Amino acid sequence: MLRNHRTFYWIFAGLAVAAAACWIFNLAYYREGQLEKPVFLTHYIETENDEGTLFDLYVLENLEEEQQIAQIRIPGLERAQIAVSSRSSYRNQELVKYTVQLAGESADDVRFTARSSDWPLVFKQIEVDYADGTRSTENIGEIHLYPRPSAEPVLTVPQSMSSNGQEGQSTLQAEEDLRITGVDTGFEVGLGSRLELYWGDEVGEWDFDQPLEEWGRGSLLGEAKFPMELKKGGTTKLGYRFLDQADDDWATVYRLMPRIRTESSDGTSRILSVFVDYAPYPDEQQIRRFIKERREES
Amino acid sequence: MKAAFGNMFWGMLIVLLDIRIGFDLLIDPVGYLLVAYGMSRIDKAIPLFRVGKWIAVLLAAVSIPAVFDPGTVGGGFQALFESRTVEAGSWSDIWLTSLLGDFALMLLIYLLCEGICRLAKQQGEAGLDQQMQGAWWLYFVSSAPMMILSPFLLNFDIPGLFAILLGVGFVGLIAFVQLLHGFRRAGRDLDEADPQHRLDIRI
Repeated sequence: MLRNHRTFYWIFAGLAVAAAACWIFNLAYYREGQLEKPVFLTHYIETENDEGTLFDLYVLENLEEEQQIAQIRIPGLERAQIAVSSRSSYRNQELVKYTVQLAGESADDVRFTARSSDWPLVFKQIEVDYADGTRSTENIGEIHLYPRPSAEPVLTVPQSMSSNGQEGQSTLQAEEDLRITGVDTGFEVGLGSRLELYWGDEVGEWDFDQPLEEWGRGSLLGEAKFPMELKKGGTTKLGYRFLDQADDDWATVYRLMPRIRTESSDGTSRILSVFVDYAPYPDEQQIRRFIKERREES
Repeated sequence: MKAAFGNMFWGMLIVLLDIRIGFDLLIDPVGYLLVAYGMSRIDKAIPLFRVGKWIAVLLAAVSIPAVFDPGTVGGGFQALFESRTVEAGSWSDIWLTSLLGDFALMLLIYLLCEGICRLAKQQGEAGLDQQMQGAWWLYFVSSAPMMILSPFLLNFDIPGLFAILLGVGFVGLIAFVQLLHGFRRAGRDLDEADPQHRLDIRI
């Protein structure tokens, strides 16, 4: 077919070398993008010890993970129900979300065994069982578990919403005439200027067709003036926005619990806790850089 | 001669067709072995087929895993694509067998085409010579770029991948059809050649 039949062998050899080089490069690149084992993100979670309380834990693992996670447990909250609630797939990894639900028994266990001075209970590690029978203890950041307030709050949350997992707002409605005396923002480990809280004394119409940006956030919480009077049925709102600044900010997940202090007309003080959630939505490049950093650290 | 080219025709047809009912009904290893058998029947007349029959046997062995698990190995670029979608198979297994399988298939098709070309020239069958040359070059231009491109699917999104797949798939199909028709034509037009008479052409 070719004038010089040996030409084919040279073409074939060249193609073989080129294809082998492409495979070697891509396999090296692929292996470089693999985690050595599943990695739990850093979490800062505040929540109340109440039946049905939910919070999420995230782990990044390889799609073709040799050491697959079978189940996880939180020592001290053994009877909490933990199950995979979603998986976000990337090219070679997936971000798995475990939802933890405090069952009646687990919450009661904690409530009755903890002394009042122990609160909040802090959980920093989880136990991980792998499908191959091995087990490990992993750091997950901090879960702060607070006691459920004994008195029913006089503020309720008729509506709350979040957008993109990084911003949202809660509408607060007074059940009686009251004064809001302030908002405690709890612990804000490593947040810096990453979280902005907003306070609005008027709530606009809820229009889900409009982006949250256009709803109006209100003023920054630091600029809000307390105490603030609220008549029965009156509403206000607490908004929040997480601003990712560093490239790896997504790897630190928050569920914070600002506490709104109220004072009834009879002088009784009560607290309403609302939740401020950050859910990670990294892109492919962020995942790759995160893995690269982890590999360099180890 | 006719029977040997018939073996090659049916062998390559079995390789080309995929009828899956949980597994490939027309299993590729049988097809490759049939090709090897056909080549061995006329390897005195076409010395290139002495090498070719062993390559066909190698391909039969390499394609065995794909019979039972289409998501694993055996089909080179196809295996890579399927593995991505079914999330099965180990990349380290795939790259080795894919590389081996793709190159062995390319070499086999070259030897089939080249062997028939040489015999056709000797017998003065210029039309068949042209047809097998065409089949080879079509196959080469459809599969060589994919050999280079397919490893990159492991890590990168390739823009227009579907269109590329469609294009090379179509060209590859034409090449195979031309090759199969070439076997039929060779069986008819080269039947006069003596299978025991060695072609005096160097490998």
